[in-house]
Amino acid sequence: MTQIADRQGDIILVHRPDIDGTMLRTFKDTSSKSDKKGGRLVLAEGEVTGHAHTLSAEVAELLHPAHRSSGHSLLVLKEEIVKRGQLIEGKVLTTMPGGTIRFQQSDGSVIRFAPGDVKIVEGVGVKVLRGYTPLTHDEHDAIPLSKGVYDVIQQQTADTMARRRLVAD
Amino acid sequence: MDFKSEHEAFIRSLYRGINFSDKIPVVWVSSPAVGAILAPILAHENPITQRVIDRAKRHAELFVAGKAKEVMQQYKDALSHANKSGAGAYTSQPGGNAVSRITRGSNPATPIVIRALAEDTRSLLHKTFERRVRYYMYAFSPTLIVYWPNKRFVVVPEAPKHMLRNNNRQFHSTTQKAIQWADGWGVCAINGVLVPNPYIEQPSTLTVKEIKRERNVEVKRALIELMGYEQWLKESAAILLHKDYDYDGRVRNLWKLDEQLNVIEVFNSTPELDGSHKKYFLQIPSHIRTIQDGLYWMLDATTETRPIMRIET
Repeated sequence: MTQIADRQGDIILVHRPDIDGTMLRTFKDTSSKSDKKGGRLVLAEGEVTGHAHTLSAEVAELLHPAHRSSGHSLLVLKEEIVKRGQLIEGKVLTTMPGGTIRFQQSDGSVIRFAPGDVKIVEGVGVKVLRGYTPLTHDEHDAIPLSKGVYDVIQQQTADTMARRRLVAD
Repeated sequence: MDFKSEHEAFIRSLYRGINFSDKIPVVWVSSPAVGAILAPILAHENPITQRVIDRAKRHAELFVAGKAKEVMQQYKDALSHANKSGAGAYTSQPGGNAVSRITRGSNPATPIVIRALAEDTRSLLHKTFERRVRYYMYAFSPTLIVYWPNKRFVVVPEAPKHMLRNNNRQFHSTTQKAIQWADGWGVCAINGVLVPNPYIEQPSTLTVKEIKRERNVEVKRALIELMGYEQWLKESAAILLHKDYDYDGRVRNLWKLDEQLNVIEVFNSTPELDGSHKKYFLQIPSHIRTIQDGLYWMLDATTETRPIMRIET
């Protein structure tokens, strides 16, 4: 089955519609103090910059496999903060080849929508066609994530000894 | 119990454990460099009194401070005095004077002292001790307690004044010594790899020519990271293996770094405040020959599990 994924910097979120409640029970909810800061759930924190990939802790959980080395962490989004049908004020910055829209919201933050996520309302902003919760980061456009389960994969690179290590963001 | 007392108690317990006397002097020094010089000097002294320890320690500290000539002169003066008077610490032992004992001593550390005394080359001194310290650091890390154990004494450096690490707990600093002791001696490291101090402390000494001369592959890669890939790839005439374009039409390059590693050059698809796009350089194994394969390797994805990217920022 072909999987769909979103990438924000060095974090890739692979959509996992195949994971159900039974499978989720094999994971532990280990959202620790370091995962949640100031009402935000932190998926990963940049070791160089200190910038973090975060989303609202009210609607999300981060689950880690029973043995950390045995697989990826799972992000469980229980509901969407921005509801379907909502009108968001702002302006369209660019429309990319392929239809992706870079949209600047009234608070200045930028979010990127895939084709079909929103409908442009001229002079106002966009109308949300698919509810979402934004995943934010200081150096990357936000990504809209819908309710569901995601594999959280941190990009790796090869270190000076040709071994795998996490990308230093 | 404080740091020193705790370690002295630990050392004495080690000696008892191997049925050696634990009533030995534990000599604390300001850095491993001083320890590496002091240990072979003390090994040739008998008996080891506090006066002997204090004198030898002063000499070792002078060596590390680059004042070997002064020490040599002191040795010569002492020998001359001893020869004239027929007595004195340096000639009171059977087998000749201190200098000749050091030059023909059987302690494996002795050759280091010979070179230092004979050539007075601080850089050679530093390089040689750096190798020894490197061995001990890997043997005893992460506590960084280095011992020179002998049946009759133990030399132990004080704890470092600072140890700088990256988030992977590896010794790392691009601006100063990663590990430094109170007397100023220390070593530089990039992501856990020891690199020659001048490249960190005087960055202008780091050139493409110097990096190409480096034989140790890990050190070479660390120096490339320190210089910056952009500069290295441009000035070293690196080989371009593959080129393609990202979703937004920006070029991506795959460069050969060395026999084991390639590096992918990509742009951040999110622009900076000034509209420019930041570049990233990501190392991948050398068997990967296309950018797309490299990007999926970084996800730890097999050919069967490659996801389709919906949004990339």
